Amino acid sequence: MRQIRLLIVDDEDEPRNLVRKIYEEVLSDFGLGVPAITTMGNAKAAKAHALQFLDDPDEPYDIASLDLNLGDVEVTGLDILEALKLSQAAWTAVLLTGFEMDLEKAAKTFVEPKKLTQLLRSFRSEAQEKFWPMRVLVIGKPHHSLPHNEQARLLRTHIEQVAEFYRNLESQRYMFKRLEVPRKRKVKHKSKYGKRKTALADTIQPRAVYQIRCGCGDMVELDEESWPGLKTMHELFKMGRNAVITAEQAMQIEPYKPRNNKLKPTKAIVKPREAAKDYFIGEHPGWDSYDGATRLQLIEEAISPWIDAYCELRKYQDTGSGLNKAQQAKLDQMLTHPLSQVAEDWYDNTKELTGTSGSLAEITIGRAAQELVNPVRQRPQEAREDVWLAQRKSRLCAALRDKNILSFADYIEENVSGTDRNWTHSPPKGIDWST
Amino acid sequence: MPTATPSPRLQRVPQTLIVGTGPYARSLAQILDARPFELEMLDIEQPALDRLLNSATRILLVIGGSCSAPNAISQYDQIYTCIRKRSKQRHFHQISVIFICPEHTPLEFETGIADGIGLDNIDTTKGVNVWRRSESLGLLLQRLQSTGAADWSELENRRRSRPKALSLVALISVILSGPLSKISSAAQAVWTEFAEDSHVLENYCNPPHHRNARKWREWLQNAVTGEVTPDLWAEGKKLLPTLKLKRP
Repeated sequence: MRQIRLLIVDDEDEPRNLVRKIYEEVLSDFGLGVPAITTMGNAKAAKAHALQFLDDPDEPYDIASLDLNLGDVEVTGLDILEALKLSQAAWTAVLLTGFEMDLEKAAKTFVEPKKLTQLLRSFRSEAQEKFWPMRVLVIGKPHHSLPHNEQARLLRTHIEQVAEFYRNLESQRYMFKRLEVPRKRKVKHKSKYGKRKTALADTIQPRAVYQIRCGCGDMVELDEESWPGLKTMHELFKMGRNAVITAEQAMQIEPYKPRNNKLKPTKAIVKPREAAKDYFIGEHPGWDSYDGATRLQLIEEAISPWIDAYCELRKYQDTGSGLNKAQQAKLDQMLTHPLSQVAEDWYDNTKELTGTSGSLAEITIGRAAQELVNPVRQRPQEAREDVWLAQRKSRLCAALRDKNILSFADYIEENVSGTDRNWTHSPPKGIDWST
Repeated sequence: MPTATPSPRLQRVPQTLIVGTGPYARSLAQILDARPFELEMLDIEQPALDRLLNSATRILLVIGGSCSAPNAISQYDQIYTCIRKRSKQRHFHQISVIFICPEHTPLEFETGIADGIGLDNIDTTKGVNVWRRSESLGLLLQRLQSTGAADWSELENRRRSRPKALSLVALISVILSGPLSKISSAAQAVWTEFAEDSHVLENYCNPPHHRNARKWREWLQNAVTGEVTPDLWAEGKKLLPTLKLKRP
């Protein structure tokens, strides 16, 4: 079993040692093993320690137990709680409020029960604002004027709650769940006053959504349709530790779909207009049989008479100098040319290089011309299963990183490995995915 | 594909920013090899600006001759708010701020600044310092080195726990929910807190700071010296939106 990492922050030595001792006892009693405990007494040092995880991510704490009042006007337990959330440095957090929780005793000695309940409620709502609400527990720290035995008894009761709370939450730390949610569609209907209205209604076919949480971060929901590769990954995770999935299985689970450009924030690939190809085939009937160099030469010859003028006019347009009527008309005329897309790419690629001279072959030409020179041929589907299998992982990880879901992308990169035709998922010890 | 080579100036992200629009700020930026910066730029959505604010550790705020302490604190808050939004460390981003003041700035300015950041006197370990233009440049460099850094959460906690702020929050609470009999004592507590440096009340008011603080001083005087009538209570309720502090 993986050893639990526990952080205890309390400015007073005696309560800190008592809390430490009881945590050790209770967690062992609950079958969670002996924890590795880090204790800190200085509020600012604890805050800095929590923020260190931002630059240097280490294995996060499983439980962070913080005293609310740390004897520092500038830093309270709530600030450390917030820092832990920001740097994703703790899975669960416990805030000790410093108030007696035993209401009967409180009524007799310290605070009115009604006021105490109000105070605890306000602390709880504040703590839930600062940390993930479902993963923070607010408990009372026995008052220091109580006898030592009584303090220990009360504290033990509360820490037992913490252990129970942690045990219940632990299964949600690594989650990869598939849910089916109703798909909404717009329906037009008439209101009782005869007005036409639009409403959202459920459709018969639901859509699949994956709930993912990896480590201490937020839970994210991803749509199956927009995330190719996710379904295959889910099936692999579902098969258990060290399971293997083959390229053929992957193709059955999730047949190949062409790349969805919506996921990529980069500039869409500019396809050469059919017109450009038709133009060359019309001009040079043997176009398809020419090699790349010949084609490039022909492209250069075709656009060189007017490319300089085109670039100049586009430059005026871009820099805001503006075009007069005659220039605008000339540019419009050039844009109707079948090779205008090739010229536009040329302009895009060379506008940074002011004063550059040379032929098209010396400087990289645009995608449109490149595709004309070396047309990409689609390979038959049967031969690509293994390639797609490898692509699926890298594309999924890139898309996850794009959306800032870094922890899950890192996890897949590290723990899903394999050869060309097989993938294996081997999670580290102590990580169990509930899929 | 040909790619433009970034210039060394673009590659290096400066850690010291000088906030100000005038020629003084620009020349100081040249001397200190810092990036001059305008407050108006803070509203621009630009990744380069995010990078700049993310790496900023020292800010020199050039204050004009007519700028009061509450106005300077407002500028300081404006910068901090922007850093909190754009920095990776959010409101734990640590910076040190040096106010560059004109030669004849009164000492009251310094106490106003100190109170604005939740201190009795300027403490260099708390992330803020003051430098007058009549002082030597060597001293400024020394202060740049010796001034510690602080973050927004520390600043807010300090401000909230000030006795002055606490007394005002208590007064706000009583004005909002009564009873009438308790207003006098709450006002008395505020009056006592601000007795020695009444100008500091401006720090707790929304702009126009001076006018709003004057109104509050008049109201407090009436509440302390005379009888608190329902009219005075109603007047106090009307004045509440002019305070920066809100009911807890």
